[in-house]
Amino acid sequence: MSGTEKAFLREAVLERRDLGRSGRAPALFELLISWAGPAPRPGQFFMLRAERSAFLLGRPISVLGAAPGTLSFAIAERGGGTAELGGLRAGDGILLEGPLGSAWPASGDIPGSGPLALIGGGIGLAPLLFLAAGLPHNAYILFAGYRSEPWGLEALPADRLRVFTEDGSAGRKGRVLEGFEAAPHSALLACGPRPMLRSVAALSAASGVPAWLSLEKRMACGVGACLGCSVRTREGRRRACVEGPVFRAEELVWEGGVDE
Amino acid sequence: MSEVDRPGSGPDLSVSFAGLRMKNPVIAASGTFGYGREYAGLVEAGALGGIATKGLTLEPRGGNGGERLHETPAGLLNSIGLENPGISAFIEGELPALRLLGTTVFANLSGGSLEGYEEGAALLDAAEGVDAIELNISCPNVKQGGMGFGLDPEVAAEVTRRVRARTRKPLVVKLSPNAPDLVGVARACVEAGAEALSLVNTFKALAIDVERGRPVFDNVTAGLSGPAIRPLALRLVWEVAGAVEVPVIGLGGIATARDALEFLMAGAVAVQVGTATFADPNAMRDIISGIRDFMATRGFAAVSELVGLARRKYRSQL
Repeated sequence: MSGTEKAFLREAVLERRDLGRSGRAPALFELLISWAGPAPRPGQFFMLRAERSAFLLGRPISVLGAAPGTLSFAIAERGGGTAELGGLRAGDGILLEGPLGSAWPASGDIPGSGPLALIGGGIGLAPLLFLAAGLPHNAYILFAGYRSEPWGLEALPADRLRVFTEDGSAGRKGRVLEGFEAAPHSALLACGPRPMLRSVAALSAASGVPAWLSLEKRMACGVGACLGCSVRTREGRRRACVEGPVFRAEELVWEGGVDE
Repeated sequence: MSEVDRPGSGPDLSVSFAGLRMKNPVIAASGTFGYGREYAGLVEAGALGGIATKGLTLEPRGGNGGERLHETPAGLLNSIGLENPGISAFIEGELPALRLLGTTVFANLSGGSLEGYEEGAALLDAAEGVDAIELNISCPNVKQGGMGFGLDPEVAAEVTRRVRARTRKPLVVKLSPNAPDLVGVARACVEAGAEALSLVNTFKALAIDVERGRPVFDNVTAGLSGPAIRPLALRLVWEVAGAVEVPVIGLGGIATARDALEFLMAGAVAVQVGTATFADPNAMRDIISGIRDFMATRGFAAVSELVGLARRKYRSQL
């Protein structure tokens, strides 16, 4: 649990850079932002809103990276709120609330041996890139799926990466789970599109390799008050913003979709 | 010099109504502040005038499936559907911490049947730490009950009477702006024993996902809150406050001290703040300090001097 170590602060955008776009896919960009509050753990997220905003609510965005005094986020322009964030430039004010939600499991919580399989699709790679950046070299393999051009991999050793692109522009052509085998791994940690997450849950159930999934949900408060992001689990409803976004795959109820 | 320059002699923000005494007139609105501890670390809950809990029902409820939130211009549509652990679990699991916050606790009582309301009221009546019951007859997001009890004066009076018979705690009835004759519903609730009214709950509204060509929400309609509804809510507070003798708590899109002052001047004895907290967890703190500053600089000594001020000025012009 993250406890109450969180803050709501007005900070400044330090840098904004494009992460590319392909075809009809939403534009991707990275924001580097000053941050004077508590440090996040990989898997946690923040609510982000431009200081001068046409919108009411922040948007929940997983942390891509953290350094003393700064945070970075990878954001896909899905709608007006994220497009507004994409229009920010260095020096612009931004409101951040966080860090929020659950983190990826610590290595001590994962039984078994073998590297972690970090499985990310598209913008879902962000919280896994944050995790990978802090793991020992042999502790993981990152399975990274993109529509087209990869991003975010510069700092990671090439022998830890398995890159897939849908258009074949880099790495192997195809989707990230093609040919994937769970057995060599101590755990599967995944974030990405729902069908991908559901496949990871099925692979986990079939192989017995535990899986943790990070879910994306619309949120209003980000702290567990509004219940807008509640998901069905085997133990009843749980909040993606507090008990999640990282859940044990086996806890989730998938009939009719994880959130229905 | 001005009041603010002399510590201890600033304006008195406390308000008293229906047997309750609150340290200030700002209450966290039901459904936006959980059970008081969710915002720990971001909001000093003990500084609030009061907290209205998430809507509670006799039995636990999982709430609605599908999408639950959709932002609109200056507004938020929600279709949560009264997800809550049930009144007994609230009393055992949430109330012990909630009552220690040092603020006035309004337990928001919802229900799907008259019997559910009655039994829920009896449990809350016996629960130490619940200062008042806010009877919710205005949730637009449940298929059974909820707002169905708040649209017609006779039906609203019946549920109010039944709950009144089960509790000696102060009873606030939370009204729906969707009632065709809200003043009629308000009067009926007062006659049936409501000691105060809170209004408005969310407006029934709709959004369509044009990419998928279907309504955003599984229930089709949802409840609209946020600044978009504020002038509509203010008009209803004005009308109801002018029609009933009991205190009225105003809510609907309040985000700043000026917004809160509008509701007070329209006749509300206190206000609730909800959606604004999602946008800015400091909103209620800033509203309280903004009311204090306004009173100090304009020479108001007590909140009661603000309550209904615009009504008195309006009458004096007639």
